[in-house]
Amino acid sequence: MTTYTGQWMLRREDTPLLTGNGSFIEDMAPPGLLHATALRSVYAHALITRIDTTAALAMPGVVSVITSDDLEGSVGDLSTVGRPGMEWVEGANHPVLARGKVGYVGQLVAVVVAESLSIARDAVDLVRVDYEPLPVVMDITEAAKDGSPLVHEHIGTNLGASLRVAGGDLDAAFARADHVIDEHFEVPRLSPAPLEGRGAIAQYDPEQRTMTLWMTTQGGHHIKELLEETFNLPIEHFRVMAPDVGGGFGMKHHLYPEDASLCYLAYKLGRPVKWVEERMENMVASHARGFATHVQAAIDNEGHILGFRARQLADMGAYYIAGTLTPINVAARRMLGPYLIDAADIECVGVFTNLPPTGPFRGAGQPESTFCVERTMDIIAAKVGLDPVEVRRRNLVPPSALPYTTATGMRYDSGDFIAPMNRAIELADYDRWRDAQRMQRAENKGKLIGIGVATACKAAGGGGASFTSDARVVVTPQGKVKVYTEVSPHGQGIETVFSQIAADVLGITPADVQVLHGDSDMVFRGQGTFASRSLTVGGSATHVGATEARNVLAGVAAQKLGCAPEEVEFKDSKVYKRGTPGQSISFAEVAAAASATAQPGGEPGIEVTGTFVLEDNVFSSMAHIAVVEVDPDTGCIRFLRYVAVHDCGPMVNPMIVEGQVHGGIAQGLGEALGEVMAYTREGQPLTGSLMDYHLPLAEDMPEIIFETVNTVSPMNPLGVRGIGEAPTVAAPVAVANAVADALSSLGVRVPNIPLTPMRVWNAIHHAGS
Amino acid sequence: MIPAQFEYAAPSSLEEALSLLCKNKDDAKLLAGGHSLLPMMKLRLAQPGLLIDLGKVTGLSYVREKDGGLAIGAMTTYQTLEHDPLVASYFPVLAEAAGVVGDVQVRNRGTIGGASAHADPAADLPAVLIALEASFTATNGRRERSVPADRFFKDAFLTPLSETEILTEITVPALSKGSGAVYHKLPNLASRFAVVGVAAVVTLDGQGLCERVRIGVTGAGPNATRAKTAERYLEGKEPTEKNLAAAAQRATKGIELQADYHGSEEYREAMTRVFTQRALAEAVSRAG
Amino acid sequence: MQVTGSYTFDGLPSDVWAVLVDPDAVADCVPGCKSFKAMGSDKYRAIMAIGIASVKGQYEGTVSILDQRPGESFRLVLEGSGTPGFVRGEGVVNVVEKGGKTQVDVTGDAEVGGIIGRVGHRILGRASKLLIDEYFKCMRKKVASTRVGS
Ligand SMILES: Cc1cc2nc3c(=O)[nH]c(=O)nc-3n(C[C@H](O)[C@H](O)[C@H](O)COP(=O)(O)OP(=O)(O)OC[C@H]3O[C@@H](n4cnc5c(N)ncnc54)[C@H](O)[C@@H]3O)c2cc1C
Repeated sequence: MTTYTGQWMLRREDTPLLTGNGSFIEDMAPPGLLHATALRSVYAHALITRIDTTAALAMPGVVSVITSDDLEGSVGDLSTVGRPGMEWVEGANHPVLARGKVGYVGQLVAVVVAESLSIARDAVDLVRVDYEPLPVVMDITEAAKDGSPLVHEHIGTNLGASLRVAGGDLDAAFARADHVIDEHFEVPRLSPAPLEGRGAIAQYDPEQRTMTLWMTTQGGHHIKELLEETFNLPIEHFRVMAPDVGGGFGMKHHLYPEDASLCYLAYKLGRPVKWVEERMENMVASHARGFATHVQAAIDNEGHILGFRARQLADMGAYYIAGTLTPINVAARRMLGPYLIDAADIECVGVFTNLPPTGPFRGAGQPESTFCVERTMDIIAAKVGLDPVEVRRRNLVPPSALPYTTATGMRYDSGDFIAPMNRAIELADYDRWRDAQRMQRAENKGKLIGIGVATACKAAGGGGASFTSDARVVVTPQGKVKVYTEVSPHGQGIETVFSQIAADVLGITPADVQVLHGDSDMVFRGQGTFASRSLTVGGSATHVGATEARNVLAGVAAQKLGCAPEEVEFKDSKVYKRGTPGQSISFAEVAAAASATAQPGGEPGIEVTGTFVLEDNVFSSMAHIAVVEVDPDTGCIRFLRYVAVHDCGPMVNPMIVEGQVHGGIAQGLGEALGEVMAYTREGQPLTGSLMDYHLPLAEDMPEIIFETVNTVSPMNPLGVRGIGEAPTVAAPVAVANAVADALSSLGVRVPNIPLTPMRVWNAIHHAGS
Repeated sequence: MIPAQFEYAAPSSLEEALSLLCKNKDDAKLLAGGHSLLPMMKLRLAQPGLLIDLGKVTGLSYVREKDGGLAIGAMTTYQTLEHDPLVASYFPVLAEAAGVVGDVQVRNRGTIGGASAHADPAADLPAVLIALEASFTATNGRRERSVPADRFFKDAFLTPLSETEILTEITVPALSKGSGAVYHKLPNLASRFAVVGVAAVVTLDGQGLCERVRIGVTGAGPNATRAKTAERYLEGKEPTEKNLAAAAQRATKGIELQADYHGSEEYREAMTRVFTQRALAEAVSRAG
Repeated sequence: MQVTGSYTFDGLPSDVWAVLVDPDAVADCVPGCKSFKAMGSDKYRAIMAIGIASVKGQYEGTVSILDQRPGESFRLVLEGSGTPGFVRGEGVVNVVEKGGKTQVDVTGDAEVGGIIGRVGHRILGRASKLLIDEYFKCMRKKVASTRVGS
């Protein structure tokens, strides 16, 4: 009985946002507000020999200047979230304020608080810090070598974390291989660059001993836990609230030094303190990706992969923040993608560098590994003389083999990994483009045509606590429904989608359902929005909660209707006995009657909490095809066609699905063609502003031809598979494969991404040298 | 993004602006569209004590016919250049080039005078103004002078303007019959400034030979310059593919190639040649 | 950032060398030098106001003239910081005779950090070249005037 689920519905979130009526941290100003600005390291690695705050403190309007000495004993270092099976060294947690030493350009050294932002900004220039520079290491491969300068002398190595997952008889696989592919792939360090940077307001209530932190975050409950671990002050309760949040992409699921500093200052000064990040700060706050992978694949003459070995280095930056270990975990465990590979040995090693800390970014390890596997598939195709599509067809896990457990222990629940590729080939007019390419090559002039395919699968759910979600559902006496979710939307359209789900369960309209979120006091536990879990886990909890509420209402209605609760139907805001829709009572009437029976206390109306526990990750699958044209004279790349087909399970709102796919592809193309946080040898950023860091612009985007396949997953009541991160997984390597294909006609190897015009030109003009 | 404190003045006449400038010359900055100056101030790299806003000064924003060409007021925005009917009919290349500067917001505010006075080595218009042989009129209130484009862009961010002069007008002389002009650029994908930009103006004679060739190159060196060796090579020759290529090969002569993250010296050299060849070919086809 | 340059002087290498390491000459020629004070031998504390176009900044730092080999070479170590950022550089200055004149070759490496490095890197090479050119132009005058004077 779905009326709204599956419908193309406009997002209820958009009107306030598009009319300037959103409420972001920057828009908020509690009375008595103080303003903070940050003093940051200009060195990548240096001892701090002196900090002189006298001049700043003497400036009228300046209230406080804090450095690490002030935090001693009260605020600890930021904690990191460990992963089962992974080893990591202690002693590299991110200090809130630099303690005697800085580890990257942009690290927080001191915070200045003043009556106005302008005063605080003027005062920062008066704080004097003397540094004594230390040797810098900023390249992961260098950092991993013996004798490299150390980021943490006391640890004695830059190799900070490692995870090794293996299964099957790899030696046997290599022994019987007809060929061994041996390749090296690199994925650059990226800035997630959400539209709204970071920012927070902290306020302390000494009577209640409650610290409230309004913050632009992806998960208030998670931040609350991290604050509890960090603070050693008599604060009894942390409450974290998220107003409107302008994107996060993984970057806003950490507790940052600035947030902890604000809480400390609010506690110390007894007044609310606010800090809103500038873009230039955001560009060096935290990053993602930065992987170098050595791949060895054992294959037979028919292009089957018999065994797969990978050694990955992952750039962790100078310190751990909350999510630093996540991409390492995901990259290693989910390396093998949607393929039948019986034997594998994957090791991912996290390396310290004198660069900003890293964490997950849309895809969180999956794009890093998919890049390697998908490039390898194309290299296999060339090796055995098959079309890249055919190689994939031979290796993809067929529907009959599902559920399937990979050699690294990932369980693929269900679906059809081949269907998206088959449809993508049709939509892309694949054979016609291959003909066009053959003609172009025969003429041997003009622009080079390249066709790139990527097939992949992507988990949704996360792991551990993030498999659980609660949705508190309240039905008011007036028959309106409130869904309180722990999921923390920041652009995904969750309010719209969850209202569609609840409306269908209760036979009412989405307009009758209010979806509330962004307050750690609202639902007693939670995790937030990441790992494509919002719909798969949180949406399922909403479904469970709405169903439980319906059960309560059905009991009340059954008495009125004189039937069994199982016979009660909810439809068109009416409630009736199955088969007799003519004799109905209104939903509001039932709600009012049920409210009368409800326990006193709490909100008026009935209230239930639906809990959903995902047993294991659910997997979506996808195929992207990019057709490009490379100008050999300039290295410039232009899209001729772009096709994406995703199996995301049933769609609750196809418009939102398409929006997620467009955004994800934009970020994927950015990664493939322009984005990289580049640094000098001394660790100074070269692409540290948007005048140099190439975020894709509207005019860079191709027209996207998009379709879905909708196989139902048995893992959750909605049958859904997640879509938030998936497009970012396939897009970068579809483009890299297309450019590699174009360059192959010149016998030129595709350079590392991003494929900037100069890199492509260099590859063409320095081929062989 | 909060600039250091500064005073602000919005004079309504050129005389007033000049006298403010003269009185505060070490500490004052003229404000035109602000799209180069304000970012610097917000980053506190520039901290002028006084901003003299030219926005309210009357008579600095215009496009009018002059001696068969055009006279353009210094405060004329890119947006005006892009859409002005006189510009479109006299120098479509100028409208085209204005249309590829930055984005709409930048074009709505940025001015031809600001862009010229700022002399960013990667700016677009300088290449076009050089190829069109524009000249720049400036005054300090006592003396007005005019500087030809190929002597105006002296070095990175360096022009002959003194601290007490205001650039008032850019004049573009008429193009002879049989001329074609074009501007091609390879943009820095992030900022859209030119990694390399080439403007070419070619005039063909009755026999179809290149009578007159003007090439302006931006982005490659520390300042926009004329590619004189390439011009001279092509003048008097037939615009065959071979000749255009040979001319383009000479386009980097005399340019002290610069390097940054987006383009090495070698890449800039190669792109100057590629874009010169393409620009010449297009200019020839427009001339014919 | 690599910094290189070659400058030709009229005069003997030994004379040119002597001027190049003379603290008074250095103080006069460092662009925008506002103060220049000795701090022990071979090391000086300096305040400079340097700018290009509307970007201006004041830097405080030290200049060291090390490994002096009279008439041949010396090593220059420079450190300065101010609100726009910092500069740290080290270079070797070689002085050789060439066709009756003296050629001064500079090769060095500099790190520029802070906001100026972040947004200005595309222009740093040119800016440093212009500053060094200005410096040696001034030194050339010094050498010329000492020759006239002697
Ligand atoms: C995001 C972004 C992208 C951009 N992309 C491009 C691009 O692709 N191509 C490109 O060419 N440019 C680009 N620009 C620069 C833009 O074109 C600037 O607007 C222009 O260079 C300066 O013009 P303005 O009117 O804004 O000058 P302002 O910023 O107001 O002034 C610049 C300088 O010129 C001086 N000045 C201004 N007017 C006069 C005058 N009449 N007499 C004497 N001195 C004067 C000022 O004192 C100041 O020093 C971009 C800028 C931004 C912010």
